[in-house]
Amino acid sequence: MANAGPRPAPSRPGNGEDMGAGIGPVLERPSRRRWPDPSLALVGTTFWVVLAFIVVPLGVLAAVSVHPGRFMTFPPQGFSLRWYQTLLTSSQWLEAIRNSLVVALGSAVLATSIALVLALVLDRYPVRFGEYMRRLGMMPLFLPPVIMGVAFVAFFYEIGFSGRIENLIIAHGIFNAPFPLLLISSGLSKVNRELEESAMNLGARPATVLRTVTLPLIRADVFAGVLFAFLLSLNEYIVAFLVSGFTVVTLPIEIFSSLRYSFSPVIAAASVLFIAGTGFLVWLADRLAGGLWD
Amino acid sequence: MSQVDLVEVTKTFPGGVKAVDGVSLTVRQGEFLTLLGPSGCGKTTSLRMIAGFEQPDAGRVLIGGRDVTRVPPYERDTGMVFQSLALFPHMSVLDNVLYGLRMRGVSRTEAERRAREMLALVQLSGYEHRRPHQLSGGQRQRVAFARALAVNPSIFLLDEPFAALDAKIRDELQVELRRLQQRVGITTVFVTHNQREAMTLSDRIAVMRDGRIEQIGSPQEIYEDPATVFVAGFVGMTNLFRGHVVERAGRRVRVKTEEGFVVEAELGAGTGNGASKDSAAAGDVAPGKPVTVSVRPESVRLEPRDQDARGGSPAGVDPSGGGQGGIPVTVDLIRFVGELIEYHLYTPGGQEIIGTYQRGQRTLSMGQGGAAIVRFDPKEARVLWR
Ligand SMILES: Nc1ncnc2c1ncn2[C@@H]1O[C@H](COP(=O)(O)OP(=O)(O)O)[C@@H](O)[C@H]1O
Ligand SMILES: [Mg+2]
Repeated sequence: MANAGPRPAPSRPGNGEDMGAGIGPVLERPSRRRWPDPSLALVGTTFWVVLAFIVVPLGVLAAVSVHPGRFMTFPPQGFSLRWYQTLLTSSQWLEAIRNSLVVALGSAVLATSIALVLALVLDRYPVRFGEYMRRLGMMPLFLPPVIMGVAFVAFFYEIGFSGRIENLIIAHGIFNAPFPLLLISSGLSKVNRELEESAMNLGARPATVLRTVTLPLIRADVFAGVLFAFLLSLNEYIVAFLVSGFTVVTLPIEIFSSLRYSFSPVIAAASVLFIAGTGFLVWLADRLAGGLWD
Repeated sequence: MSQVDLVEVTKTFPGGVKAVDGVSLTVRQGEFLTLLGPSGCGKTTSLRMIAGFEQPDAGRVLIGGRDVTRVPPYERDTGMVFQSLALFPHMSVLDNVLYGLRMRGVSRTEAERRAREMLALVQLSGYEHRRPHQLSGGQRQRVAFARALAVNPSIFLLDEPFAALDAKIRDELQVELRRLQQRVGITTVFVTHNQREAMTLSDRIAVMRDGRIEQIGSPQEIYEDPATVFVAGFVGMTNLFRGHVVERAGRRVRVKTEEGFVVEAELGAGTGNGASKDSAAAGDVAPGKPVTVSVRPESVRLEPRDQDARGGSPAGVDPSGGGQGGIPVTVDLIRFVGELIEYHLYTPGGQEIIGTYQRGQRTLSMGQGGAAIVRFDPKEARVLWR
């Protein structure tokens, strides 16, 4: 009773609510501060510097990609989309794009499925050694990709199953599972257990509860997991390079190997396309996360 | 509409907490029974064992005479309202109410007819397509009632459904719940730690403490004839005087309090009849036995006292026990609580006594610091085991 109603604003460390209340008036009445806060200025500067470091190279890349000549040149001498045309007609580049998309999609679905099953089992049932299983699921996050890659190569070689696109899908599926696992676990922990019990009380069997209550409540997290794993697979080079065994070429591998033999602006064009695709997915993820509910 | 029986039910949680300890209880057909007790006494666990969410370690649960101890929750046919209400946030109000009907394979049109009928019953027609988060607390509450009752369960279970609501809405919904329950005629188990809520709603109350049932009875029985000191203190306000039996004649018992005053009280019908194992039988009340006398504030009567006669034996008090004595007090505080006037009094030994008068009733013209004698009718005072 005593702490109902508006509270004075002094911020008490360790109490999130009060911290928020303390920040409120500052945001509403910035004019009360006569001098800019030096730490705020530092944050601002850092932000712009970081942004510049990201945007400037990308700008250069985009500029280079429209250079009509045969070698990457900055600033570009003229404007031409011929390298984009080359990119989208060359069977080599198209193959790489196709491979990348197939691997990314397949491994994203695989990673999210692994994560979903693991998260559900660990969260809903008192499994023995459950914590160890979770750590096992998270392990790829902490191992160097080179080691993971070598391990996969050795494994696929041993079972006599190397150099196929499925290998890459499986490798990326396992390698990228920690991210959907984190997202889905945190989503599940926010689902009130009483919702599931309530469904059961109304006559739903456990499988029906999962389908009609639990999954709909965490679908935003599942979607975010798929997108995340998709992006990570699309961008991943080291594991892909090792596991592909020179037979399956993905976009990052193609970009990298092209760089070794030529300096053609088609590489820049591929990179720009790549970044545009990634940007679109990030935007999509953002839209979905905000709009999945209603 | 069925009877519920708990037979010697015990539940110990991993970690050793004995949440429910040998509880036996029968909820009669169509009855509104409340499990009342302080937080942590095992009310929720008992309710969850009836619904099937917890398995008892020992004992049996019967619904309508059928042993359902090992039957999973989705085959038990109970309608439960959870403390958090647990409305599905991703479904409309209508879909929430439809859920149970669909699970039972009721056809879409029939289910919808039934769901709309239930929503009309709880006065929520027109809200079918809202989401739970677009409703007020009281409206959400009514959706939870409608959802639980739509499937026509044989038992209605409610776990502190009003805890999160403010007093006014709580009162309205209590009336509405009672009306709904009587209209449907459903056997109901209601859980609360709020004794007023229990008193106003229930046909019978089971008072729980530390995983056991202390007493079961109608609200009036529980109030007028508490079986134990705990029940007397938990249900309504009371004044307790510890002492020893001096003399007993039938139901009438004379008790010398620890401060040395002699008071008279009666054995109630409930004394020693509690379900709790440590309440000894009323027949054992004999001279020399330690007991406690419980007097409700409304039974406390004040008479003026001559302040000078303070030393030794206070005026009007007969420590030898001849006739009905009284307890000398000083008035510490007078409060006006709604239609009641509440006197806070202190004995010479510093024990607080509270007495209440209806407003307009004849009272003493006495202010703070005044001296008085507390008396009470032995018929309205209960002798209890400590
Ligand atoms: N799932 C659980 N695991 C361990 N202890 C529990 C669990 N549920 C309840 N308890 C304990 O059992 C006792 C009774 O709990 P509960 O039935 O919820 O009481 P009430 O509803 O009367 O407040 C408490 O001591 C509580 O801490
Ligand atoms: Mg509880």
